[in-house]
Amino acid sequence: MLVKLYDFMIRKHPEILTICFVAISLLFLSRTENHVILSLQTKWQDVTTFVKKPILEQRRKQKVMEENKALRMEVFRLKQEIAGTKSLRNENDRLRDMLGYRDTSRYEIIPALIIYKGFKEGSNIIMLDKGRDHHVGKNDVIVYKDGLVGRILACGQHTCMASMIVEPDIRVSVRIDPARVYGILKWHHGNTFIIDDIPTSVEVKPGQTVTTSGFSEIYPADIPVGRITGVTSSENGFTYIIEGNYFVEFNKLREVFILRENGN
Amino acid sequence: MGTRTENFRLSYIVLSLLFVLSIILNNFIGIAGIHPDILLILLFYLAAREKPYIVLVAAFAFGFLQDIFLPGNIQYWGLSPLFKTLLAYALLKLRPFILRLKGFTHFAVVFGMMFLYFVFYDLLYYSGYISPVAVLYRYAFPETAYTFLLFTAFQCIFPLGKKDKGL
Repeated sequence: MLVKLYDFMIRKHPEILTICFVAISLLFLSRTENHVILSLQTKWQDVTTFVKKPILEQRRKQKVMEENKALRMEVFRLKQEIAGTKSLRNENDRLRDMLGYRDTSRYEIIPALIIYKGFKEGSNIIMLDKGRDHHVGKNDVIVYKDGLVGRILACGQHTCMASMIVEPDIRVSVRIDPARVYGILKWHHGNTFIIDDIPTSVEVKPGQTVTTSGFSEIYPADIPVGRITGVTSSENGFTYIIEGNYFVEFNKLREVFILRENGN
Repeated sequence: MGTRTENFRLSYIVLSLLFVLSIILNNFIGIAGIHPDILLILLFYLAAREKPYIVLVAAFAFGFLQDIFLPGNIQYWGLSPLFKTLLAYALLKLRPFILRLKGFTHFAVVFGMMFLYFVFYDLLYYSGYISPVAVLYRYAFPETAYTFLLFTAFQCIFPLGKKDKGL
């Protein structure tokens, strides 16, 4: 009996191996955030950063020089505006002191360079050049100047891996302004999102902005997310399905900012 | 001139080095977002020369390596070992048939196998991102062409022997 079984296994070993490997692969597919894999990936990025970073820095320098030129013009324009707002700020500070307000900024902003943007286009994983050395931790929020980008998944010593919000599994609790209605945002396709189950009793129009609600344990309130482009009624007629575009152009990102809670 | 085994080893070493380079320089070797799959080329070489169990273990390991070192989307970890294993199995089953092919048909079959791999992989990878037809012409075909071009160039340097030609 055992000899027959042995013969069978020898004869059919390609099929047996294939079935085993397919089963293991399917197991991986069913577990989206495997901590062992995450840790392996971040450690690997730590190792390769020293090669990638100089090349990326060079590219960044070129871009920065171009931006610098445009920014100088912008600075001149803004200086004029600042002069006008300075007096308003002084007045505001004085009034805040009178009302007993304190500084409510809870986050430190850490600029980070994207050192890896996924194997293929449309990937939602990015690697950043900041890690535990810079006190970056899991679930720290990533933003860009335009709005919300995602969150940190895992951290190595010098790098970290982050997930962007353009992923089918990710939901973000959001608020639509100025209607001040709350909903759950999910990625639709490309650079678009949808928010469904918004009651038709609320007035929601294209052009309104979507920001984080602050109800989430991860994302703080008031981070811009996107703008509404279309509002359609659902089949039951009681709710709206809202479509919109993200503010951030995810496929053009080169650097981001990590929001680190500073414990104030 | 080295022996046949030495040539095999050299081609494996060169392909492995190319893979390591492609990992490190992934952001720079892409053409309009299209990247070659170096491990797929290595898999084709192995499938033509090695024993079935080596090919299958290598296919799974390559897929796993790709998911570790070149991660794409979180929800698709495991997709690469899955399709690489299935492709390796198909290559092993079709090996006697492919070994008989010569010239253009041989290259056409290799291209076809690569294309099938990329079609299935990309259809799942980009599901919900762009339409299936767009996946074909925007990703599957260009990725196949890029990888096949490298495969052909590599064949000029390290030709598969007479015994194992066809893959």
